[in-house]
Amino acid sequence: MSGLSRYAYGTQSQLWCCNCVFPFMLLFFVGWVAIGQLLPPLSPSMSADEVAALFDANRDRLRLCMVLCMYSTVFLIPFSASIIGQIARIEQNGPRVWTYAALIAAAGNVVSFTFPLMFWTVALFRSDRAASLVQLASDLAWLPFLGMASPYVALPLCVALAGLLDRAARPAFPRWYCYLTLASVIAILPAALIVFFQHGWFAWNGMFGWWLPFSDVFGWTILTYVLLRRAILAQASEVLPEGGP
Amino acid sequence: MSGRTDVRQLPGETGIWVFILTDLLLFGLYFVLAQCDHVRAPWAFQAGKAELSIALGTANTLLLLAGSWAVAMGTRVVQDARQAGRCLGLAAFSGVLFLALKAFEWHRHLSQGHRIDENPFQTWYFFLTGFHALHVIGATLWLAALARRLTAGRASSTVVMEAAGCYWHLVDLLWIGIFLVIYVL
Repeated sequence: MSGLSRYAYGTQSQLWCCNCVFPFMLLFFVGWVAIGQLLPPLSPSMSADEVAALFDANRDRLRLCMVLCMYSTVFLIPFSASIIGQIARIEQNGPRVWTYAALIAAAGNVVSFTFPLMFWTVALFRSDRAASLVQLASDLAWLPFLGMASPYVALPLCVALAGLLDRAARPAFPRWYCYLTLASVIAILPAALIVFFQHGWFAWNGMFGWWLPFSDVFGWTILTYVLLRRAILAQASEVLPEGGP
Repeated sequence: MSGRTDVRQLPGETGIWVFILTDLLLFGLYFVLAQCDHVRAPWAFQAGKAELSIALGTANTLLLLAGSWAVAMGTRVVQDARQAGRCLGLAAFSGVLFLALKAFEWHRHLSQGHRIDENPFQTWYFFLTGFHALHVIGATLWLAALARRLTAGRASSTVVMEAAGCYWHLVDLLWIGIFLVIYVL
């Protein structure tokens, strides 16, 4: 394979990884919203008996929801890798600290996304389990799923900081996007307060526990996809001036 | 610091204004929701405000305003880099004093037995002042880093200095909103 065709192959791979955001979102939305009907989320003030009864009445539907959401993470991994590929491009002549930090953060994201799904699956696995244990497993899932913002925010932070430190004539990401990413990280931080509340704005089904973080992550992901794709094509045009691969 | 062109432009860079506007919208949402809770639970707000010290809140406000003056001097008025660095250092010091005062107020408030989930007023008090303190920490560190650089005789770009100044003014503006919502109205 010549150097040029290898580069075109690399661009194609990056675009495929970038496009993985669509199957990720599709699987998650079909599983979570259409099948699981978990939008809006269950109230944290529900009693153990109420949670157990709800799980019992919708057991197979929720099991299928968990399986689909679990498989959606398969596509989250290449999408994260395509973001990290651009951070590596920014840091190609340096020690690549933000690249490695983003890599660790993306791996942490997958863990913090899949572990709650496993706890819900455990809660749904046996029908003869005590209601208090079902509620315990459910709490073990909801609290980290929505409140453990720290691994999630590390990835956008790495993108923003690497982008702001980019000194190239044609930076990978526009600077306004990096600042907006920092603001989106700040907006999501209050989600960690769900550990204190069972109702109200800060509960896990409230404005700052669910709706704002959910919209924030969704909006940031779509915007990142658009700019990431543009960055990958710009990278290709630097090597392939005649229209790219 | 480089000279200015005749074309009027935003201080700092476009990106920092995207950040500032997003943060202002976010705090605007907090203030609206806090007022909604105020209407729904006026008893909690009346009792909570009565226990807060307006004097401490006013001292916090004056500290941030003094910091804003020092930032304006350092970024817009003083031309000598070392003197500008001292002005920014002074602003960073006002940030440290603000945080010390806020820590004292939190300690006193917690000692009185208040908790974040006690009632809507306490939730907004702890959340707004705590979240704002995170902003103050960010602004203080940014200004301190710039002050250190300038007083050491190293140049810093006008864009970065103005961006840091704009961020400090944002922090100041947000505090005035919090002071009104939590301490006064």
